[in-house]
Order: sequence, then structure tokens, then C-alpha cells
Amino acid sequence: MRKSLISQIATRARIDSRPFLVVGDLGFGVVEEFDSEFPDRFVNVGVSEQAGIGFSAGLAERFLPFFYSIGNFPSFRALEQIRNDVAHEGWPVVIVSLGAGFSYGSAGYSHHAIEDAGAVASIMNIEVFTPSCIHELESILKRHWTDPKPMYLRLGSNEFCSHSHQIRASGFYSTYNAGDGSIALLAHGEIVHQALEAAQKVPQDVAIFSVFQFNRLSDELKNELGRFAKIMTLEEHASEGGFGMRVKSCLPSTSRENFASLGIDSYDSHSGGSRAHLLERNNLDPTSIAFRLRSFIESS
Amino acid sequence: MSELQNAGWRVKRSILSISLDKNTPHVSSALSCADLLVGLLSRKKSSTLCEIYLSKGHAALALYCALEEYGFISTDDLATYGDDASIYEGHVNSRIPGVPLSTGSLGHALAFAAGRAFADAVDGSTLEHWVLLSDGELDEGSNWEALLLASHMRLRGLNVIIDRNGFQSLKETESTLALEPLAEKLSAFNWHVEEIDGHNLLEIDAALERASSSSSPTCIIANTIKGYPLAEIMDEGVLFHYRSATGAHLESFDSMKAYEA
Repeated sequence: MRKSLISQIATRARIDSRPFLVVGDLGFGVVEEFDSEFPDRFVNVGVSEQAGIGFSAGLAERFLPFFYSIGNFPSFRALEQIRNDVAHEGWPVVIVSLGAGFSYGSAGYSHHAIEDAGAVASIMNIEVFTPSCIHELESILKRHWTDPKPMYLRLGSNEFCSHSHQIRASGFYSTYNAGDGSIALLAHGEIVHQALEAAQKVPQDVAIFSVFQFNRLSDELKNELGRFAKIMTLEEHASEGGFGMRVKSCLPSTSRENFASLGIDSYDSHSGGSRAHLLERNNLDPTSIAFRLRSFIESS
Repeated sequence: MSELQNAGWRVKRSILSISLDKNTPHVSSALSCADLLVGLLSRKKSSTLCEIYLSKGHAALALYCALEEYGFISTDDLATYGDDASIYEGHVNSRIPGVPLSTGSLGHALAFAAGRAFADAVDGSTLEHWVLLSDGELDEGSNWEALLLASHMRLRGLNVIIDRNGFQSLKETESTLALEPLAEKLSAFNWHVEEIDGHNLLEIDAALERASSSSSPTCIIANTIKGYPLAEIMDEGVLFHYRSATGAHLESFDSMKAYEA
């Protein structure tokens, strides 16, 4: 989604003097055009995430800065800058992390962003968004231009979205189908596409939701979930501290026995592979998801 | 005695008095940078547009007393220091008028100020940005990232003062994680470096003026004494980094003939 992100920032920058791009020496082949078109609103701070995020916070009185980096670098390397200088000071910096989950596949565990959203979401006063497609990204940015707030934006690698879905921008989620009321599958980020594929493999009409706000469940979504007998969450993120735990905590205690979550439960840091391989190894590929969905639906 | 020196005396006395009254720590750290803050606040008061970032947020009391000395906050507000629900906390709080950034964790202010200075430059502003660092916090890599960034950008209007009192949390900086040769290190990072007596307000004032008119970022290494001017009875060490001032400190301070109210 990086090309779409930079394109959307540039589109806004043509009519708005506030968007500003700060990069941590990353973005080859993506950020150069923005630099050429807006040289006064582009800075490469070098490989220095802590200074980069502090610098971005300093810009935010005048600009709407995006600090662009990948994987765990902007989160874990500079978590206190996010907490102190952005979130608790209330500066509307967007910290962008490309390469959500296993996007960097064979690059190794240094590049697997599988705990980042939970870490940032543990900070108060910052919103964490994990869109599954460029249209959801667009709705997030649309709100940011008029109501800017501290934000962590976790993006995957897909640039295109061929699925038909209805975005509920005010509730920060998308729906793909109404379902038959028996089960809702809530996913965030690009693994929504695996969820859609998995749903085709089970006989029941599974309602698929893409929830792109990680750290809160909107009232609108909570109301909509009330009509489902069972709820399952799915994420390309550690289960511990993940989206599933957050959803579960929002459910009425009577509903929790009809809740299940799928995420990364164990992780062999030193054995690599492609994203598809890593998803399969963690039972997060479409076939495994379908199997776990069917078992959950059929469980009493 | 100059008005600046009188202001310095009053601020240091307020630090001792309030620390004693409210039983709050970091008194020796506040005293080591009090004269530097008086120099900066005096500059701000004399209609020079400037922002002051106290990166060593644990010396907040010195900043608050200097803000009060120059009328940026009221005496009544300062009196709430350390009270429940007060914004005058033990570390610097950006809700206080004249404070651009909350600090407390070391190594945050310089990068933030660099962002502010950059944004100002785009807008053609002549606002000055002064970042007061402790010497101990130079252990933080984030400061060196920011030093590299600010000098690379040649951010006019951004200057650094280092409160070089020679101590950090447990003992001397040089026996903890040696900083020397500090001036050479900063010069190698392409900063213009000056060394001054950090308790001589005339020197401080002159150095601020020189830095302000320089075309490149200046780093002033201000040689200070932790607990000044009570270093001898504050053990010349770190004890009063952790303890509040005592009645004996205040009496001793008041008896010093070198100062006049």
C-alpha cells in the first residue's frame, strides 16, 4: 500500500500546505516523486527513528507529518518518542509502518512486524489503524485531513483491491456480506483477503468484517455484532496483546464463550520463509482458517 | 551587582525554599542550571522571540522559578508546585505557559526542537530555539541522532546549551561513561562550540547573543557546579539529586555575602 499512501499524501499536498513526509532512509522507488514535487515538505532524517519521530512531532504545530518507515523500526525503536512526544503531547503525527505481519517473509524476524500494533496500542492517546486495502486507507486519511490526531498506520504490501465491500468510515470497518447471523469473522489488515478465501470453503454464510481500527471497537460495530451467535477474530499479529484480546474484552461476558481468536500463538524466530509459508506454519492460510472456522461453527 | 545576577540569586533562593517546603528532589540539578535558565528567560523577556526546551526535565523547579521571576507564570501558580492536580509537576509539563514540550525522560527535546526550527524556517520565522541538555543525558543515542540531524540541516535559530556539571545519576560523568573530549566530539558533529562559565550571567548573556547571531547551530558547553553555590554542603556529589533542600542550605545561602537581594 506504500505507493497508494504516498500518492494520497501527494494528492492532498497539492491543495493543502500541511502534509509533510519524513522518511527514515526508506522508501526507495516510492518517495522520490514526492520529494521532487514537494522538496520543502520532504526530509530524509537518515537511519534515526528516534530523532525522526521527535523531529516530526516538532513539525506538527505547522504541518501534518508522516514518519515513514518499515516493520518494527518506527515502533519498537522509538516507542517512547511515540508515547511522550506524539501521543501524550497530542501532536498529529502519523507513524507509518510498511510491511505488516509477515509481509517481509524471508527477510527474517527482524522484519516481521507481528507485535508492533499491540505495543503501540498499549499507549494511550494514539489511534492504531490497520487497513486491509487502499480504499480503507483512503477513508482513514480523509478523516485525518479534517480531524488530525496522533496515529500509527500499519500497512501491508498489496496496492490493489478487487473485492467489493462497503466501508463504514465512521465505524472504522468494512463489510463484505451480511452473513446468516451464525458467525462473524473479524479480521484486520491484509489477512482479510485470506479470510474471504477461507469463507468460500465452508458451507455456512460467514459474515466477513475488515476492522481497520486496531485499538478500539466502535459503538457502531459493537451494535452490528450483536446479531451474531458467534464471533471469531483473525489477525497476522501476535495473539498476545492483539486485536482478538481487545475484541473479547469488549464483548458482554455472556458472549465470550462463543468467541474464538486466530493469530500468531507461537513463533520460531530463526526459521524463515515466504509470507505464504509463514501464514501456513501458523495455521493462518485460507485452508487452515476454513478448518478452524468450521470447527468453531460446529462446536456447541 | 547586575540585575541579571540579582535575578539569579532570587531564582536559586526560590529553588531552595520551594524544594524545602515541598520536600521535592533534584535540588542540586536545578541549582546547576538555574543561572543558564535566568539568562535564557531574561532573553525571552526582552522581547526576543524564543522557545526554551529544558531537556533535563528533572530540573523543572529551576525552570518554573525562572518563569516566575520573569513574569511568565504567577507566584500563586508556582506555589502549587508538587500539589495534587497541579500542572507544576516534578518534571516539565507543556501545559505550563512558555513551555513547548513536556520532558522527563532524557534525550527527547533536541529532535523536537529541530522539527520546530525547521518548520519555522519554512515559514520565514526568526524564532530562536534553545535546548538545555544535561551532560549525563548525552549518554542517550537519541541526542546524537538529533545533533547529527540539526547540524546537517544547518538549522539557523536552533542552539544547544549543555549544563556541564560533571555528574550524573550515580557518580561523575567521566567515571560513568566518559564524554571527554566533549567539545571536540561536538565540533566533529559540525557544531560551533563555545565553553563558558555557566554561573557567570554576563558570560552567559554574551554567549547567547553570539550564538543567536551565528549562521550555524551553536553548542554552548556551560561549565557548572552541581548544587551551586552550596556544593560544599551538598557533598559535591549526587546526594541532593535525590533529596530536597534543607533549612541549613537555605540559611547558608542567605548568609552568603556575595549575593544581594
